[in-house]
Amino acid sequence: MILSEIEFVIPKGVKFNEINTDEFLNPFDDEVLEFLDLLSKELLKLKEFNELVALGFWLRKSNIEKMKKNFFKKYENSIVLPRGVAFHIAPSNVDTIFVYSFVLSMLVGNVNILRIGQKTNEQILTLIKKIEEVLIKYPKLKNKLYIARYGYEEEINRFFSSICDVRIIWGGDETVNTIRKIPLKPTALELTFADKFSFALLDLNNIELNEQFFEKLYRDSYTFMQQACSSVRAICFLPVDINKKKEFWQKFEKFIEKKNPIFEDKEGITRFNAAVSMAIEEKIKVYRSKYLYVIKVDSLDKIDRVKHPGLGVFYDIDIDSIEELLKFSTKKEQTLSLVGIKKEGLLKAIKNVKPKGFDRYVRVGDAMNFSEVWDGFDLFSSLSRIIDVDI
Amino acid sequence: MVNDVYDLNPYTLERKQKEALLINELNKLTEFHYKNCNEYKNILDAFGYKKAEKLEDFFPIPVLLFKEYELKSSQNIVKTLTSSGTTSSKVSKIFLDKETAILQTKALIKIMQDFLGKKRLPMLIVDTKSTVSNRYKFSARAAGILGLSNFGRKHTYILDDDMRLKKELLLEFLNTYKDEKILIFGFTFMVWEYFYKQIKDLNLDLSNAILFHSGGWKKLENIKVSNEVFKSLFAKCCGLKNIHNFYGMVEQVGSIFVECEEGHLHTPNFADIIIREPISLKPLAKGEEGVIELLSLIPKSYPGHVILTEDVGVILGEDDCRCGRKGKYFKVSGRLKKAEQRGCSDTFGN
Repeated sequence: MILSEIEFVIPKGVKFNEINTDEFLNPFDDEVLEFLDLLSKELLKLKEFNELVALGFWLRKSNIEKMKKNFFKKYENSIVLPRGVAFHIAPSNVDTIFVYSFVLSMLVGNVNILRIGQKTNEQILTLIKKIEEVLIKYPKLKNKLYIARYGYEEEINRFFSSICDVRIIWGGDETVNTIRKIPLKPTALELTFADKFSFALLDLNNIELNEQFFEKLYRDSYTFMQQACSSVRAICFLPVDINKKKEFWQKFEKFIEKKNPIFEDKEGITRFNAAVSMAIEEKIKVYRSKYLYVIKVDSLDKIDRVKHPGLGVFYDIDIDSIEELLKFSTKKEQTLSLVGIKKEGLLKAIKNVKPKGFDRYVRVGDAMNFSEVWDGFDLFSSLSRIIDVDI
Repeated sequence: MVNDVYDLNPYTLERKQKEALLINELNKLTEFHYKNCNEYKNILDAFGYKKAEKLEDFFPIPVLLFKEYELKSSQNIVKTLTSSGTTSSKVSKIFLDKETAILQTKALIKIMQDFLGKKRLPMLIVDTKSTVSNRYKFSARAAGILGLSNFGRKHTYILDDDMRLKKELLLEFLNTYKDEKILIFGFTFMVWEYFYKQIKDLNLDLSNAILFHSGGWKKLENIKVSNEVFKSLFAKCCGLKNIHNFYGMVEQVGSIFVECEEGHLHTPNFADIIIREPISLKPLAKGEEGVIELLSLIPKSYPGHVILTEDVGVILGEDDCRCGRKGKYFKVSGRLKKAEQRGCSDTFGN
């Protein structure tokens, strides 16, 4: 493919050499806020697409206003300017990640170029159509957001990389490695989001095993079928009576059964293959049913992050203390969903252990909530320039 | 007992007898592999496997595992089979000792004789000779050709290395054996793409031929050629009506399932099929479509006696096919559809 043939989905018909690279907005420009507010309202109407509704909820005015308040409070003594042109590479199938990415970037005033893959589904098509419909009402934003759909053409990545001031690569070690080989301007920055693995930590002694609790745990795991970076894939248990643990798994399985998540046929086999393959590598015990697989391992180092297929598979690990998990954690660990654990204890443990991993600690139920601080970055500050005026 | 089963006509055992035989022998095999293959032992231990009482109780090893691991239960490997690996970059590796290799041949002979008779027939092979030239590392394609070659004589490879038909050679062969029954063998896609397409306008008479082909319909489905179309076009262009597709896996060479005159794939005495629901892996009843599990008494040097394929199929009946053969008969509908990726999975990469 040659550059002149890049297909821009938004705005339609634009040419690669027409991309605006020198006109930017101020952080939290009113027109951006209005655009997002309207987009939020439109997305919240799409009840049939859970992930779009979740996105709409995140984009709601009160949430954006909160971000704005925090932003200006944080930088009240500085001047913040946009970084410039941001090039976002979205993962192939978390349909909504690219929106989270460009929204934060747009909020600080950048021009945004987004690469989306060629795989499409109804959800993503609906999302793009909505963005297009809403965007058109805000003429000032016309040259601030470009969405291009293409495959693996290095030439296109090379071009966008050559004009951007910050490159954001979402998802996948291989993608990061591939794109990283393509040079950026010497002044440009890069944010990469590698493959990550997330845990839950439960102290069942302090948890009531009711519907609300399971609803939250379910949301943290079965959203995106456990394949998002922040999805709970392993559950660590602080010391607890064995019967209480049994009760936990039984009730969780019943809860999942009631929710009846839909697996594709191939996913059923993929899950089985992965569990068998795990059994070859490490001493494990497998419990399986239609709705979940529990892989019992007797220590944290038996976890195989790469073989874990998502799809309703949980490692089950007994640990003695939160410190044990923090000490074990590596750069691969992202989110720890907790419940039944006191904040002071957690903070003390983090300070003591200085864990290599875990960039987020959230209450069970919040693992999927995107925030401007992600994988240890403050995206707002990485996407903007903090101007130091010292006269 | 187990060796006797290969001496019988391969389609004689009825349900009760066959199940008793298979359960007994497969339990022995499971125990054997458990003792001799460490990986297999780890798997059964992890899944809390208990001795099988029904056919569906045996633990199926996913075929993918033969691509990821070198699974063997014997120290005396004489031959390694590899899958052709056309659809993925990794290939299955199947390790054979003498005993397993002999059983494979024995089983294949029994099955083929039921369709071909005992006499070796003049044989056309729809492939190029170079496919079989590497003697130590066999591709599944080569193994298939060499396996089937036992049932023919005057083996004639009718394609050159560029897959062009050796027309002179073919005509000469047909002329020499015009009054005899001849055997044609090739992989389904090759037979279609490089045989049918190159002979369809030659006005040949192949009414004296019996065609065996295997290797799956995946490539042909894309160009909308079904088994029915395949058969009718051959009949039309050259009078070739005696056509048998067969289904089998490189993980269970020898255990092949040949299409009978009614168009059904048949399980022989020493092999069986179970259809499972893909998510729960619970066994399904006759008539219900699901993922195919294959059981075979042949694999001794590697734990491949019960395998879970990634093919989808339906059991059509048992012991009551109009062709007269006993055992389950089934059809293969194709491969499991590739799942759409979900989650923050890779955008780029290999």
